[in-house]
Amino acid sequence: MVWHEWEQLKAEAAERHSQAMQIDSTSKGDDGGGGGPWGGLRSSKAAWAKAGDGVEGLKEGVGRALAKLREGQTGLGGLDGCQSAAAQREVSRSWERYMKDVSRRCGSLGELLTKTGGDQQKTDESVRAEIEKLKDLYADTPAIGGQPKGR
Amino acid sequence: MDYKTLKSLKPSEFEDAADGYRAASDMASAAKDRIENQLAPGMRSSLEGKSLEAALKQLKSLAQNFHYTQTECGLVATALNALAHDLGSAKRKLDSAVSGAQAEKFTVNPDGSVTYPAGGEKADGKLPEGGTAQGTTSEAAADVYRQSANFNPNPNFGRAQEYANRIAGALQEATEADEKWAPKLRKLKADDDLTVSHRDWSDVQSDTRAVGKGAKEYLETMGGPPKDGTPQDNAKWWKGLSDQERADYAALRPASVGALDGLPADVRDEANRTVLAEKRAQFQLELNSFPPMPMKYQPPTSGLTRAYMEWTEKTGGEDRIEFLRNSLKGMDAIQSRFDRTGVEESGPPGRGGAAGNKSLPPAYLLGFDPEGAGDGRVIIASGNPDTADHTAVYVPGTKASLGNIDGDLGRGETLWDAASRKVPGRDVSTITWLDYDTPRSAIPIMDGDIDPEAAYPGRAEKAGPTLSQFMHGVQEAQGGPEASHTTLVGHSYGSTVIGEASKHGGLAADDVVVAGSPGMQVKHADDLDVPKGHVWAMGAPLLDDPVPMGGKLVGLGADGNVPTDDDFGANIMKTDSSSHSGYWDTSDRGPSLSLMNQAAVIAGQHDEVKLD
Repeated sequence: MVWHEWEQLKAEAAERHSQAMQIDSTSKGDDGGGGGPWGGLRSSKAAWAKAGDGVEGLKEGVGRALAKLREGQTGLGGLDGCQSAAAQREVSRSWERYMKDVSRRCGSLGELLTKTGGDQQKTDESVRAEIEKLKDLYADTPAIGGQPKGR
Repeated sequence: MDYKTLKSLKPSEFEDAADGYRAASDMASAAKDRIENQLAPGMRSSLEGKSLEAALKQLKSLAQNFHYTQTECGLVATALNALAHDLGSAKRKLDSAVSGAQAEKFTVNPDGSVTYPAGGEKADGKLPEGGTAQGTTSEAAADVYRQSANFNPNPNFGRAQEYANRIAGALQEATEADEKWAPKLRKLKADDDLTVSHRDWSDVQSDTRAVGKGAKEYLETMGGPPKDGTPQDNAKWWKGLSDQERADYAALRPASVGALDGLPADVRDEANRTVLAEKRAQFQLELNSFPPMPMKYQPPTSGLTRAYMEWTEKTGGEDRIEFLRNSLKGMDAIQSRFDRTGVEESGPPGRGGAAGNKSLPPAYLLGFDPEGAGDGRVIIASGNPDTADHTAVYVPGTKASLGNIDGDLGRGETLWDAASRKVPGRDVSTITWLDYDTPRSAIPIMDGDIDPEAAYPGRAEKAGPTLSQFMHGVQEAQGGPEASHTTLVGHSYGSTVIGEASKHGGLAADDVVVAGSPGMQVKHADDLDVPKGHVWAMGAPLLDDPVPMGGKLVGLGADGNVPTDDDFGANIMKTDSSSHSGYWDTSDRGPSLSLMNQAAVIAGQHDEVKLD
């Protein structure tokens, strides 16, 4: 699904890119500030960057929350005879992983948004590479939280 | 659980762990809000094109990651607090037995048995010997020990046995709690991928039930909201809970918290959004896996087939499918409203960027239930009512339901836009309130009923107290009657509901505006629970809007009086509506006169109302 969306996005971007090229070719003498693969207008570069920074900025909160999650674990170390304590450790490991993944997602999405407006020289191919990475990360799996297989 | 483990266990350490998850949940809630109320609106107002749409889609998925984290980590925190509660009770029993035993100079052994010294009266020059008592949790066995203690020459025996039994009891209690919670906790592990699917939300829902069952005793310590309490009672109960208790209660009872009049808007909003996400997933999954409909009619008789009747019996049949589809449509409309935050209210072209241009404030979902009183409960505010200078509650009329809530949400937004323009710098909140069984027909035959449902006051009579309670809840959360200038706006049969609310509990409002009213069940404006001179009515001419005349004929107004009649005593406003549904129209030239008149009242600028 995600793959599909990005494929579509890429196709649309390519389309707009070619339009931008045409405009460029009919307006020589211009400073040539046409769109990149995303078709972002020059004037919106700052807006894309702001959006990207905003999304990347979410990582900070995730990081602080992760620290608190770990801090809360310090007391429950040695309770070998307690099943719940052992279960809780598994739960905590799973959420630590999940939150790290979410943080990474903020990073990659934020970066992508910034580049949308910022890096207008970016080629189709390098964008595709980034998209591939996102697809691998976010695809749905049959498992749901706490159960290895679907019911 | 063995003695050594329970002895070294500190229930507070589970609470510390719970605090960590709560921090994660709170962070996720804030991040989700930041995306929905700041980042996405910022992008919508400064960027455009298909790349924006694609970026917003990704952002939305990210917001779902946070929402899932918020809800699920909130549940972990609640489960750990409930576990700490259960273990704490066992631990206190253990500690009291152990210190009692030690005070008598008995020794508690690592296996929980209790060793006692020689004691009692000397027989044949010897003190009766000491020994070790093994605890039992069996009542029958304990009785046998008690009886034998009566014959034991060493009085320490009986007392040591009692301590050992109490220790065994504490250990058993702790073991039960441990065994109960370990599997429940494991179910709360995070999903292994970042796609928050319908099945993930369905899992959250079943997790909530599982934790709720386990946490029964813990929940009971909070008492629960007062039964049939007033909004004031509800607010008092809520304020009496600690932060932790509030968070835990909301995690386990989101539907209850979301519906509780008197609670703060942001609390209700968070709870209802969880319910919305869960119901959206549940209904979609049910629809996706709906067994196919068998052949309906049996040729040549045209009677229903057995297979069809069995299918209907088992699944709820075509009615259920229609209900699911309509509910999903309505839920998507609610989600669309969330996505409109930050978007400029649709207005004439060329207005964009002009001074005074308003973009829609965050939405607050103050009530949500796909069933509600029959047509679904959807209560959405544009702007936070708790901090608003001016508040308006719009009550829709005939045919309103979750499935077609889109239009009524739009009216609430239009009112927000028009009123906000009038009072720059002041906060306005407009609320669309649907929480009653609306009539499905108003005009005979045309609406499908020869005898239309809107001709009867029954539905309004039932709805009145609900609306009244809601209004008092808003007022309570705002901090009293003086905190915000409040207007009730009723369309059509919605105005009848307002009349009934006035009679049953009062309105907690400063102004009442009605449009196309078929009657309010009162004879005169002064009979309504607002200050004299603060009832406003508009109605298009008979040929454009026949509803007021229809209401007059069927008697929805007391003594045949409807609000647009001169002797009703309302301020009759000018209207440019050319139909029963045109009172909230905007055009290329801006808001209609009807809309501006309502906005003037909502904004407290009564002098600016154009009267007939």
